[in-house]
Amino acid sequence: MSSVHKMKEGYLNILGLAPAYVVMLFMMVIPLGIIVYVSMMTSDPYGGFISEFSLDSFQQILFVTDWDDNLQLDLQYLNIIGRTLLLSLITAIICLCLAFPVAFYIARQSASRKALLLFLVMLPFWISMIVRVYAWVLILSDNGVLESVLSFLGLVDDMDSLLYNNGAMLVGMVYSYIPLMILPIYASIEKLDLRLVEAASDLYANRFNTLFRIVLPLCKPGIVAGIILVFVPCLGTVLEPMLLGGGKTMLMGNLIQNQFGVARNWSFGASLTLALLAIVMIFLMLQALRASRLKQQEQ
Amino acid sequence: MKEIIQIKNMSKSYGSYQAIKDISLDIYHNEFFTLLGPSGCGKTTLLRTIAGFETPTSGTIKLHGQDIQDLPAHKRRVNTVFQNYALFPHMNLAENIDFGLRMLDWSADERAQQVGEMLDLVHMKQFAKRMPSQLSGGQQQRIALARALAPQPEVLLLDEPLSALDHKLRQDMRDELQALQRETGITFVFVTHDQEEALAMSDRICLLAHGEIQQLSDSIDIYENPNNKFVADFIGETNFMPVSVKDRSDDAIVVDTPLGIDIKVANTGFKKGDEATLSLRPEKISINAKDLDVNIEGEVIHHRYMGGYTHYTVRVDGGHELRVSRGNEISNDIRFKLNERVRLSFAYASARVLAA
Repeated sequence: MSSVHKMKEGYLNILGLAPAYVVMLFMMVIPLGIIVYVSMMTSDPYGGFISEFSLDSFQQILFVTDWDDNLQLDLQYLNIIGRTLLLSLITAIICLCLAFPVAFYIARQSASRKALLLFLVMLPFWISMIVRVYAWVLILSDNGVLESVLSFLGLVDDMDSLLYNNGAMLVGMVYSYIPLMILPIYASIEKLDLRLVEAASDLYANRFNTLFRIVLPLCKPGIVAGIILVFVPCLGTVLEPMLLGGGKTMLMGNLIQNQFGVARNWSFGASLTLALLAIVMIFLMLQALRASRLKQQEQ
Repeated sequence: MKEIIQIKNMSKSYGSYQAIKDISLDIYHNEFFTLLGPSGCGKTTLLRTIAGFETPTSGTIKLHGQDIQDLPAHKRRVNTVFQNYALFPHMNLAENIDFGLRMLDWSADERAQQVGEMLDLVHMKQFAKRMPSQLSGGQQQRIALARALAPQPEVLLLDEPLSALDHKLRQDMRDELQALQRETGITFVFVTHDQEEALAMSDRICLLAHGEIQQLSDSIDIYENPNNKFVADFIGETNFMPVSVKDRSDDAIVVDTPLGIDIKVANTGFKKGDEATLSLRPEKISINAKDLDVNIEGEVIHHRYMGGYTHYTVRVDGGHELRVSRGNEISNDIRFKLNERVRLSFAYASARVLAA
């Protein structure tokens, strides 16, 4: 009787979770399977792919084949991966430095002001990303908003273009992703017991020591979450390199996009996608490892 | 006695709410000083202004004769034991205790030695590497004490440190706290709402209500000779009765009580015809014992067995009810039953006449 009951319960559990499994299957497993499949096929120079097994596309990430069919190390894609990692990291660091004071300020306001300020932080998400990034094109372009204002104030005569370089991309990325840093840090500051801050100052810690020895370590979960939330989407970002980098400086996101678009090399695009996924997974696994080690230490 | 803390005409307001109203008091060296009062009386605010977490609206605070009211908390040689301990959750116990020493730039050797001594002092040596979350309330309490004592403060401030502990542990910690104070010779300023705790530990008690000092004296005096009705009511239990002054001489007055008898008590500044309140503690009244100045009869209408003693409510002839407590001195002693007629006696010296 009880085992029948248990079985029934088991079926019910599976049934209850079914919608989640279905979503996972169609939104994650199948698309990823297609990517893996395409990456292992031969690319068709006329677009799409030919169902013929080949690992050439993975090889292409690091090597080129010269006229004599010799493999030669080719750093151009590795450069793009490196630049992507570096710009994403710098973006995350700048976001952290800017977001922490903002989050701290919001967390110390009254409940109604908090709600308003958090709403303002999230407001940009309601506007299309393209519009928001394009706004920076208008601000930074030759005779754009920034230059007009500065020259009107007599501060500059003739500015070099601010657009189409790493700096412009960085500005765009920081702008786009900073809310993702503010929110988790806000959540951890909000939870911070202010008596600990008092305890620190009671024990002769000045503001600097209180911040670096008490507040920051205790906000670490929020800071780590914020860095991941900013760093990971930055790795795959497309719009900033396209609009603000002017297509001159590639990042992984628009490199991949190009493979499926103008370059018509689906297999290569798919293998680059998997490379990006691998990089993201490595960072997430490192973080998970660290978290579980910390948990073990505490027990 | 030398003052270590001198508070003069201090007030603290939050908007229109006055938490502390023009308080002046001195705290002496090596003293166990208690700030006692109901919640909202201003005792915690007073403590926080000494610690430096609040700035007084007006008035001065001196530590060792030096004005400190404008000094930030981290520059005051006073340490606090917080109500919920406020141990740093990301540091182990040794690191918690070490924190203040590190901020004061002690040398590594001195710090290690002091942390060891403090852990010894609170009997927690074997736990040095544990994290605060792994400790019980009582253990956290000890570490909070060790952390606050480690930098050898001039004054240790304790903000209701026992309130989060269970009853038995709280009683043990009272003895430990008192022993610790004698051992270290540091002035303790202890905040509590628990009058029993205050009586048990303090050299002097400052009873506060509505931001004002009601009475400042030692345990015996505050219990036996309350300044006013509030003090008599807040500390311990008492019987209040409205009385009027019938007669007065230089050193005594005679008051007319609802018990149907007149009582002669020491004159504390009343005139003939004044309305006043008489306070008589339940344990000062004996039942069916030898005759004292006042002897009246009545009927037991309620009793409550408390283990060590029993509370009786007796309706005396004439209708007034008196609460009486009697120690249960002998096991299985015959206690007084409901409706039993009893004889109550008390001495004139036990009664106190207070302003109405």
